[in-house]
Amino acid sequence: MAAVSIKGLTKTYDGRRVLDGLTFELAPGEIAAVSGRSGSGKTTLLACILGFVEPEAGSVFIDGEDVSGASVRRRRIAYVPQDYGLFPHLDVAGNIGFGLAVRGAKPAEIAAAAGRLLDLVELPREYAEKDVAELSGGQRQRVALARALAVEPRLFLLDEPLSAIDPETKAKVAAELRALIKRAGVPAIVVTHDQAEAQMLADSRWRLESGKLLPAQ
Amino acid sequence: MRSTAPRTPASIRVLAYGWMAWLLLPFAILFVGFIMRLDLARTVFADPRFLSAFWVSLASAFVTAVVAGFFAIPAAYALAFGRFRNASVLETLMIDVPQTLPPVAVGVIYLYAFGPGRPWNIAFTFLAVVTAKLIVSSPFALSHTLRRFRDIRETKLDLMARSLGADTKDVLLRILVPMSRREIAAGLTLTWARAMGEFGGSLIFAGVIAYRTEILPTYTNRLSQQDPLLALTATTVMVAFALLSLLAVRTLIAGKRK
Repeated sequence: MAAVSIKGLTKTYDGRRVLDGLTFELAPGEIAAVSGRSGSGKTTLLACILGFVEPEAGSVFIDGEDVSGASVRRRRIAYVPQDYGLFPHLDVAGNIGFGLAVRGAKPAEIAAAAGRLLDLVELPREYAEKDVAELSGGQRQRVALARALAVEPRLFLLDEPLSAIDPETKAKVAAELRALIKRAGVPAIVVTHDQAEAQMLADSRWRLESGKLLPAQ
Repeated sequence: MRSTAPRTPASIRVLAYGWMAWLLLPFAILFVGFIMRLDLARTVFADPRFLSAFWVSLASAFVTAVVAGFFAIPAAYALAFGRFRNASVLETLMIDVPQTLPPVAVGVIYLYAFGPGRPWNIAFTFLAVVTAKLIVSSPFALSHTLRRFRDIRETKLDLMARSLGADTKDVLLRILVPMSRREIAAGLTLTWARAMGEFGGSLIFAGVIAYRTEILPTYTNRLSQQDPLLALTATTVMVAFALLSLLAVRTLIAGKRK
């Protein structure tokens, strides 16, 4: 059974059909890269899967469950946006433990989980009390991933994960990111405009064109 | 800054500085009057009615700010994140209209609705003072909070929090309010300052009952008909509070920019 199955997803903006009956499947643990021109609908696709935007038609199944009508929080999809979306008023541990705190976890449990996840994303445990503004782009990305992993997601969505990384270190960060997602065993959809990045990160490559996902060359 | 800015023509400078001088003139008169007759300050401060009016003003403005904050935060959330067909009309009704309503009209309306002979007669009480102040001053708390909530909405951090399992209460208490604390504090300070200076609504709805509903503006109004110099001294206290709150708001906003 596919881990994620998207059937007939359709969304129109200002009379333009951005997603046009888009259908797509993702195997357990698979990392798929989606590329496309600017404005091709990549962000809309992520927003529809996450539940941020309501599509006009189509369904999203995760582990066989139809989550199309479910609220954002019920879908349990970990989203790492381009700017990483870290909460600026919380420190590193506060960010990582956010999903646990809203589930009623005790401070000691949150601290323990934050430490464990910092180890997993290979950041020193002393970073727990750091202000997120003090972190580099790569470190922020790791914190965002640790935060996403804390809630045991069923699917990862990463929007342009390497766009803020220096060209010299991109290949290294891509390899680390891929290893990390594989270690977590969670399927992932990675949106990128760069074919080279897609190749470094993903098992399968797709391009979004005329509202449909086609295998990339 | 533009280094090649041409020299401002003398006519524009005269008009600009003239206007500034006209706006600052009341402060100059107040300052000079207060300094020249410091002995009068002692007379005013020794008047138990002044002290009572001062405390009623402080307490009613404080209660007004607390009530405004209690309602402004959920109202700002509803306006920023809710789906209303006529959101802009609702916003105008909640923010702009109360600020433009003549305060006397507020007093007349409340006196008719909650005055003598009505089931909820609160006229000429401390509650009437707070009610009259609330409508004209609460828009500051709402507008500051709403602006910030909209900025946060643009960053999608609320959706980020929801994707991590947060419900509306979590989004409000763990994201929106902590991230907006400076703006909420600035809005509440302005609410408090406006409430300190409110006059017309309180005068009509709460009256001028010594030691009960008399506030600094109504005290000063009464005094101005008896002894303008004494009124000037009482006014100094009100202006000092207004300037201090303005300074507090500026500091809060400047602190945010750092």
